[in-house]
Parts: sequence; C-alpha cells; structure tokens
Amino acid sequence: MLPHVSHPERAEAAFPPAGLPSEPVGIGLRYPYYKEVLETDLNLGWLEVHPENYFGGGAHRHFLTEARKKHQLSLHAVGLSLGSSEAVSEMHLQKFKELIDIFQPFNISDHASWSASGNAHLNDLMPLPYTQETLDALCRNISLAQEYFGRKMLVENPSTYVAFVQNEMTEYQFMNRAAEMTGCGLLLDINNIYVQAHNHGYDAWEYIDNIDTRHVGEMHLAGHSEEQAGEQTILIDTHNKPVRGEVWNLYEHAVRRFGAIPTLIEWDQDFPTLEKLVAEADRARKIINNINASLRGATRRSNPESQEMDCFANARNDDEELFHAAE
Amino acid sequence: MRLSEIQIRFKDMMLGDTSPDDDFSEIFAVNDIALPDRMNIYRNNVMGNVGNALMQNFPLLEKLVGREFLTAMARRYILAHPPTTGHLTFYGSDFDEFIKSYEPARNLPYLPDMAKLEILANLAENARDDFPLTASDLSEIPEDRLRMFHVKPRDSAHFMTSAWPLLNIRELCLKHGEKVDMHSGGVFLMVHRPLLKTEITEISESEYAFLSRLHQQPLGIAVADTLQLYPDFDFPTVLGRHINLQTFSKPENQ
Repeated sequence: MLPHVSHPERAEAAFPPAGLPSEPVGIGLRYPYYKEVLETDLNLGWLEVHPENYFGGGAHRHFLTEARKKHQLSLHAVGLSLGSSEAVSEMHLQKFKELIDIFQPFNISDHASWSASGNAHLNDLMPLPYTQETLDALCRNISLAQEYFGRKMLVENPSTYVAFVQNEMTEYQFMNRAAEMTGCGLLLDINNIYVQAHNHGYDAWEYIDNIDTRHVGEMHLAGHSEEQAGEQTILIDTHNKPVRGEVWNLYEHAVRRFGAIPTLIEWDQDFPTLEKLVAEADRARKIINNINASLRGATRRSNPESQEMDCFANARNDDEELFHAAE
Repeated sequence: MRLSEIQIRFKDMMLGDTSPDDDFSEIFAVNDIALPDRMNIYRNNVMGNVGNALMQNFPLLEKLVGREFLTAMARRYILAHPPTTGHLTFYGSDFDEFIKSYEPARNLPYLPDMAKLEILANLAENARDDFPLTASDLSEIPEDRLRMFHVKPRDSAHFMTSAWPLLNIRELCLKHGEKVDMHSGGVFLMVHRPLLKTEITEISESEYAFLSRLHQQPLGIAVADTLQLYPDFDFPTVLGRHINLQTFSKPENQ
C-alpha cells in the first residue's frame, strides 16, 4: 500500500517555520537513507540535499517533503556554475527558486567553481584561476542568483587539483573578496581546505585564520582519498570515507574561530549505515560542546557576573542577516 | 588568457577533443605531480559523474548487454552528446536514437525500444506532481461542452509502441522469465505514475491511437478520429479504464 501523498506545493503549511536548526550539526539526505531518516530516533540535526536531485516530482519530492516536516533544511546546489564566464542558466535559477519557495531552507549555497561552457555542462566542480577577471565573473553570477532568489546565498571553497599560472591572489583572499563584493556568505568546507593545502603546498591553519569571521554561514566536513602520482600523493575530495583526524583538528580550530556555525557531514559514495553517519555528526557536536563548555568556564572565571558565552551567537547574528538581506 | 578561453580549452579536454598530454603550460602551474595525472582526476570525475547518472537511468539495458558494453556505449554517447544542463535527472533522453546508430549494437535491434521504455519510465518517475481527473470531475462538465473538452494525459503518462515483445524482455531482465520468443509480436504500452510508483501497462492499438491524440485534440474529435480507424473502439470502457488508472490530469481550475 502506497502512503498518502500530499501535494508538495500545498504542503508548506505543515513544515516547521524556517530558521536556524536547534542542533548545530546535520547530515546529507541521500537516497539510501530516505525511509530510515523518516523513522529513526537518531539525532539527525538538520538535513542537506542537492536541489538538482529534486527538480522533478514523484518519490524524491515526496520523501523530501516528509523529511522537511521533521527537520530544518539546507539546499546545497552543484549545478549553478557560478564561476562560468557566461551567465547562470535562468532555467536552473527558476527550478532552484521553486524549491526554495516550497521547502524554506535556512541556507542556500553553491560553489566557487564552474561547470558550464558553451553548450556543454560538465556536471563537476571545475577549478577557477584566482584573478580579478574571474572574481568579477563569479560576483556577477552570485549577484544575479541572489537577486533572483531574493535572499543571500553561501558560496563554498572548492577542492582543486591544478593551480593556474595566472593566479593574482590566494584562495582565501578570493573568497573574502567575493563575499565583500556581493554580500554573499561563505560555506567553509574544512576538508576542502585540508585537501587544497596538501595539493598546493600551503598552510591550512593560516587559510582559516585569514577568512573573515563575519562571512561564514555554514561549514562542511567530509572524507577524502589519497591517490599516488609517481612518488607524490594527491588528495581527492571523494566524500566516501570518515572525516580524517587532521581534518577534525582543523575543524576544532575553525569552531574556535567562527563559533558553532551549522556544520554538515557530507557522504556521497560508498554510503555507511545511518548510525555510522550520525556518529560522525555526534563527533562534530562533541567538539562544539567541548569548546562551548571551555568558553563558559573561562568566562565564569574572568567575570562571574557576565552572561555565559554562546558559540551560536555568531551564527545566529549571521543568519538573521541572511534572512533579512533581501527584504 | 581570458577566462572564457581557459574554460573552453578545459571543457574540450574533458570531452576528449584534447589530450591531457597537450601543452597547457601557459594555463597551469608546474609542480611535483605531472599535469596529465592531475587532469585525469577531473576527466575521471566528469566521466564518472555523468556516466553513472546516465547508466542509473537504464538498469534494464545493463541487464541486457552487461555493464562493460553499456559503459562503452555510454562513454561514446557522453562524448557525442554531453549534458547541456546542470542537472542529470533527464540526461539521456535521446539515448534510444543514439543506440540506433551505434555500430556494436547493430545486432540487437530491440535495444533502442528498450532504451525508449526506460526513458519514458524515468520521465514518469520524475514528472511534475499533479492531480488525476476523476469521474466526478467529468460529470460536472455539461454534456454540450464535453465534445470540445480537453482531457489531457498527466505529465507522468507516456505512450509507446514497439515491434518487439518489450514486456517479455523486461520480465526476462527482472528474472521473472526464462526465455523470450522475439517473434511473438509487438506491444502498445502506457508508462505512467499514478502516485509514487511508476507502472507499465499494456494497452490496445486503438487505445494507443486514442490516448496519443489527446495531447492535441479535444475529447470528441479524438474519439471520432479513433472510431474512423478502429470501428470497434469501445470509448466508454476505455474512458472508464483510464479514469481508474488515473491517466488523465485534473484541469488547473478544478
């Protein structure tokens, strides 16, 4: 017997009001977890999906509708191709906006990368040279998208495997400037920073220390793979393994710098059990809680009268800004 | 070099027009790991992402020809017809036409029609959600307006015909059958999604003719034209059957 299906366009009244999730850490809702996510007692926090997988109707929309009734949602696009020299596809914007209007996500995002050129769309995250020309093209498309959506979006730092001779600035400078020029927020992928630092020989901690704290609205954690190339190792952002120890350390550093920003555990291939995925989320939650506890202790010792510090304060302020940017 | 030019050269290399061994020294910085190795990561990712998305839409084809054959065919298709949008749900909607001209599949003449069946199943599965027309909706239409009333098939409803026994071949793929008599005759099919699950229903030749007309013609004209070709066409029975199967779309204003 098939379940009763509510019409997605008419279901929004049943959703919890859009807002920052009460839990800081979420997981990616992927096809193998559909049924279990609706039935489990595990703490899933919030959910993230790629909007491109829900441009049609049917079972996928149905499960997303049911999941959204229980959880806050972040829509993380992979197909806008914000870094293309040409303009973002209006059809893609229109389909993405339809989902934003229906599902009321607390965050919307895509990447600082490109995939469309001419009449071909490579459907992968291609690298950008960090030049003023690229920055202008990226910012044009971010502004176009934000205007179309009527709200602020987040843009994610990529993993890349080549560097361009034309680079005129570092990646963190490029990301900060994109945020300053467009008012977008940054989605800081901690695993990507680690991968980039290894592949291009720079300091991941320094990268984080140079990202403007005002811009960060979401963080991502994922596993990566190592590939041997001659005597060298190259790291590839494969999203098919647990988060590596070094990346956890970097995340702890990021939480101390940016606060308890909503954080996603990404896993897109070779899926583990939901329990194992949630265990990764629990680990991130524990890091946030430990830092919160140590900050509370430090505050009490330095000023017993003061209110307790709250790691979420930073994120909440950012999010209020995010929700009202377009008003 | 301009950004647009870099992106065109990169795209051409991903889609096979340029080898990673070609000189990209004016674009990419040199370091410890050889450029071809780095570029192959992107190439493998692109072919992997797009190839997996394509092959996921053709599970029966994989059963029929095996993964290796389908992978090779998919690769040729991707290079000849790369995706044009940033979402792959409907990618491969002309795969059946490509297979017709794919030389290694020449001895499998039923393969394009099996691909068409899977294309329609994917269209049905991901079609826009709408509401079905009910008998009570129809009863509210005054009789004098019924002839010119447009009864539209739902977005998820598609019709096809094949000279091959596609349902039997499908059963074989799903391991419900042991062998298929390839000369047992063709079929007329409706691929549709009443609610969440996509279904494939066999229909008669006259039903196929009638239902296909409804995309263009109002009800009365479609019935009259079908009756001209098929004098035995039993309109009341066919209408009742398809109301039950939830084939038709409720008009927007109801």
